[in-house]
Amino acid sequence: MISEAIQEALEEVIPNTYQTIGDEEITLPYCIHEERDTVERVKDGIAFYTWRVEIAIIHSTPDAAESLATQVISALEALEGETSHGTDIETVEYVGSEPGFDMNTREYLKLLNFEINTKNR
Amino acid sequence: MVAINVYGYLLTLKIGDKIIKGLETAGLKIKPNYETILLKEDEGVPTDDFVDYDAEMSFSGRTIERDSEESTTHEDFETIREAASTGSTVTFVYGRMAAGEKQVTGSAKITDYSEDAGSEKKLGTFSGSLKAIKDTVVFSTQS
Repeated sequence: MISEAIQEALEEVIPNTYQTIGDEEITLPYCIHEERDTVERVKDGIAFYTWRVEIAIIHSTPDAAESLATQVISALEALEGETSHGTDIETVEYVGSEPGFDMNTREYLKLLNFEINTKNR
Repeated sequence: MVAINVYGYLLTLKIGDKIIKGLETAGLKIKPNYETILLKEDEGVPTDDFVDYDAEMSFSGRTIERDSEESTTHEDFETIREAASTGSTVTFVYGRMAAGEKQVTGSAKITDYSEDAGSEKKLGTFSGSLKAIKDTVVFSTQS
């Protein structure tokens, strides 16, 4: 599954990486990722799957979050052409990012968006 | 007798009895041709007399190259591209590809072919049209 492949790649950069939701006792920095897929069909059947991936990086300073974001982009792009956890990853495309700040916790967010095409789920 | 829903994916187009790799949409247009006739017996009201019809097919899809093992069963955007450039005549089958299903078959010329490809990591697209050669079109049932 693509989620396991992404989890493994992200954990290399940010050990506190979680899928969909984080732990309540989580310590900075941490990362949350979520994947949604769309099936791309042709007359012959399923051609491939497109995954829209959101990765949220939370850290104490914007510079630190930005630094981790650069490493995360490289880690995910390295999955292109690989087979990981049974998923054939054809392309990895970094689409863009959005910054954020939580006034209550004083934490900085970096939200990264990717599109990943895979041969199978 | 229960009505049967014919879903879009079932209606497809083959060129030279080969599946088109990456094909997403296939279309058929039949245009009857009429000749307006006004005979004395029509008492001033012209009538349209059926002469023949033109049949055209359209196709569009994604740029997926056929596998080396699929060369006998599939065409792809690159083989169609080449066929379009030579103006060659191709045979076609349009309809549902299953025994007992109605089909339109015949010979045609590729009258239009185009491709589009952007800069993102997305597949390109191709599309084209076939114009059936008159008197080659047969409405039949697949055996």
